[in-house]
Amino acid sequence: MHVKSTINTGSMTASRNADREKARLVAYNEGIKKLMEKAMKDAEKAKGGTQ
Amino acid sequence: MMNYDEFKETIADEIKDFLPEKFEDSNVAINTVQKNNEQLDGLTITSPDSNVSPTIYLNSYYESYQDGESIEDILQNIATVRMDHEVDKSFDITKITDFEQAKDHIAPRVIGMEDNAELLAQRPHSEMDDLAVTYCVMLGSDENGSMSVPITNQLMESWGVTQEELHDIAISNLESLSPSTFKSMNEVMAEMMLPQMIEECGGDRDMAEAMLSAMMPPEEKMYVISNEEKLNGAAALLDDKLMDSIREKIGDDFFILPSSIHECLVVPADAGMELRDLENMVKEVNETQVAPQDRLSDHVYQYDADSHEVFRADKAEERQATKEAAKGEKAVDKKAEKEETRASLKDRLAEKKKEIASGEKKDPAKDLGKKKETVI
Repeated sequence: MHVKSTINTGSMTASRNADREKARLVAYNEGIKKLMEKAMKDAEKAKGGTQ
Repeated sequence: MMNYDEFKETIADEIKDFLPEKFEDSNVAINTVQKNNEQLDGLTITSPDSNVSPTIYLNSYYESYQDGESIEDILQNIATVRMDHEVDKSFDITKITDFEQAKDHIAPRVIGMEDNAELLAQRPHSEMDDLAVTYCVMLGSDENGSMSVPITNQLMESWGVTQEELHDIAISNLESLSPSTFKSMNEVMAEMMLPQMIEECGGDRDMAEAMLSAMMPPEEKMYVISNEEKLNGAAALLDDKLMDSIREKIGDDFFILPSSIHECLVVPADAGMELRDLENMVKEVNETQVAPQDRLSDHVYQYDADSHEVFRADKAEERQATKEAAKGEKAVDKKAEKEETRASLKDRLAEKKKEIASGEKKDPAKDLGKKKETVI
């Protein structure tokens, strides 16, 4: 639920949302893992091609 | 079923009936609040003797209403939230309005420019490619989180300072107010997931660590930059010391992935990943995993160590060309200046030659006299 404390200058209380943080970091971790595996395969292919 | 405007009106009209008697004279208002990448409708119920009130956003309550929750239940929930978030009535507003008190608590924030045009129109900011640096006054933290006030054009004007001054102050406060952090993704994932995994593995730490390790990329090639609170940590991009330490650790050439306004990821450019693939990944994760209020940008960035600037990686060539053109222009300007100097020297020499040829040479004694006069 969105809740914040405010005065007439619009102050706000923000708190870390660990679930949202986890969701995006896990997604990036997965994505990078896939891209690195792809990069390694490409590098191996290129190596094979030059031999 | 009520439409959204009718829903808001009903909430404003009926909410006092669900609150204790002490709220009878309170002022009920609904205001549009500009947040990162979105606008929300905030309900405030302010007692006559208070300058502080929690804001309760109605947007998600309307979604619950559309999903079938009764208006009475929603009003009861809102009333409960309001009572649970009663704040200290004696808030000292001079902490914000008095620049001398506020200046040591001014901190920078980094947000995307693309969907924040309205918000940025109200706030002093500087641009960093398609990212914007805004400013806020940090008022401290408690169990509910970190409290801050965004600095608006109006507040800045009332202080009598410029945006450039605000920027310098915010950058100089960065280290003391929200120290930056630079950790490997493995470390961050372990902090985030290991306790739960150990629990799931019946307390077997080795098994949990093995499971975590299987989730990680084959080599440690990803890093997370943020701050100790992990809140609005993208501002760590403005920490030159941090950026220099990253260059020392992984080299000059690296990509910055804007995972959210709370943290960014860093991958070395020599890790073999294509820029296009990285951009696609950022877009996909933003669409599927990142809440609009946390989103920073859909682009990938690089860091210019000379100018201490972050710029879009897809514009690197364009930027380089502009830089070289600027260098070229400078060189042309210098050359033109030299040629001008040379030309005027030539003219003077030619004049001198003419003078000698026509026998109009000045009397050196006269000159000497002048010189003397000057010296005296």
